[in-house]
Amino acid sequence: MAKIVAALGMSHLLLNADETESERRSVFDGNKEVGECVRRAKPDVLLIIAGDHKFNDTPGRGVATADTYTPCGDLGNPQTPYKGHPEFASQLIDYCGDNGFALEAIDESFRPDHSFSIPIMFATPNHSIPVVQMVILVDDVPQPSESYAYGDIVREFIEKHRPKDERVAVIASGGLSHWVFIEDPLLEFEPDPNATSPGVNETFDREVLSRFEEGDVKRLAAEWTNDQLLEQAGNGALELCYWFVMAGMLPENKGRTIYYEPLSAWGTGMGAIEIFADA
Amino acid sequence: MANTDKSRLQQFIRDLYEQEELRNRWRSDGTEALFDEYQLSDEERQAFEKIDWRTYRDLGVHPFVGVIRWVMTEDGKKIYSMENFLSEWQTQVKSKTDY
Repeated sequence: MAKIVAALGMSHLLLNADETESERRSVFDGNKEVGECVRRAKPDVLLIIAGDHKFNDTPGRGVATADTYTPCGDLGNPQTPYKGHPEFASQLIDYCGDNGFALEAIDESFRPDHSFSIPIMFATPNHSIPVVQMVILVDDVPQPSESYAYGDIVREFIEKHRPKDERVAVIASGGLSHWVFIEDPLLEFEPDPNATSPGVNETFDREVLSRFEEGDVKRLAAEWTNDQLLEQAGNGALELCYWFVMAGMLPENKGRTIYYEPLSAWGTGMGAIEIFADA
Repeated sequence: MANTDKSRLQQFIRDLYEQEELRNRWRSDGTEALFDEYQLSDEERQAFEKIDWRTYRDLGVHPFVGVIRWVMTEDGKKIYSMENFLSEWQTQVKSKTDY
């Protein structure tokens, strides 16, 4: 039976604003550790679940099925092509579609943005691991409980339909709280009085990380709606959909926070989590 | 014919970001001829220059595309850059054989 050997959620911004050296180091080291967790698991394939920041005209929910992809180069990302896994991707679309999680094929014209290229940069910088890219746009994110349930479908696909001994790592790329070009939370959102970082809902972020650590994601997903995520943590927090899918692939497994920075200089909570795989 | 396509400014911003030829014309000739080509209204032309999330929202521009527009400003280019991270990371990666 194929196995999920590593599962990680990570924020995917790297900016050059007014962060302190300590904050910069925390993000950099945290991302490095995400990459090391992936490589330590020696995966045959890396599944990344993320969105697209309107650099492409992708369907709302899809999987990239081509042989290779070239990043669009936003934020100065290197535009080095990397390999996909067409067979895995096509089978995943078929299986998910047959089980109520409709995904469309995305062809080679897709130019991945930082949602994909930043996780890839740290997990497989020399592009030795083929990458399957699942794209779910924030405009079309399932409700948290649906996302979690979709994770179970993806897990079933891997365990029942992929070759014996295949090792699959998954990264959910996005989150935590951030408001992207919408109402300024400093003006119109009532920040947590205990938060030290305006523009970031630190209480929300820490609750997310804590519940993921405890393996309490199914209940968390049932408690929240996308409207609540949007209200409490901004449109960027809708990217937590990817974290819910990832957690649904390893139901009730516990995890650990790799790092967290309420990085107001970047206008976002930055963090990463590892869900312990059974393998 | 009035410009009733609310996504026209969005398309202009995306094309400008993606197409080098368009960016070269923007730099060399300014924006007016490009605005005409895309049939942008006066409001859209002003919105392109004065980046404001409320106006963009009202004009039907996706928030992420608003960020793409901002990334093309001098301030945006400076902040939306991974330069500091990339140089350190690429140095570390070069010394590894198992990455």
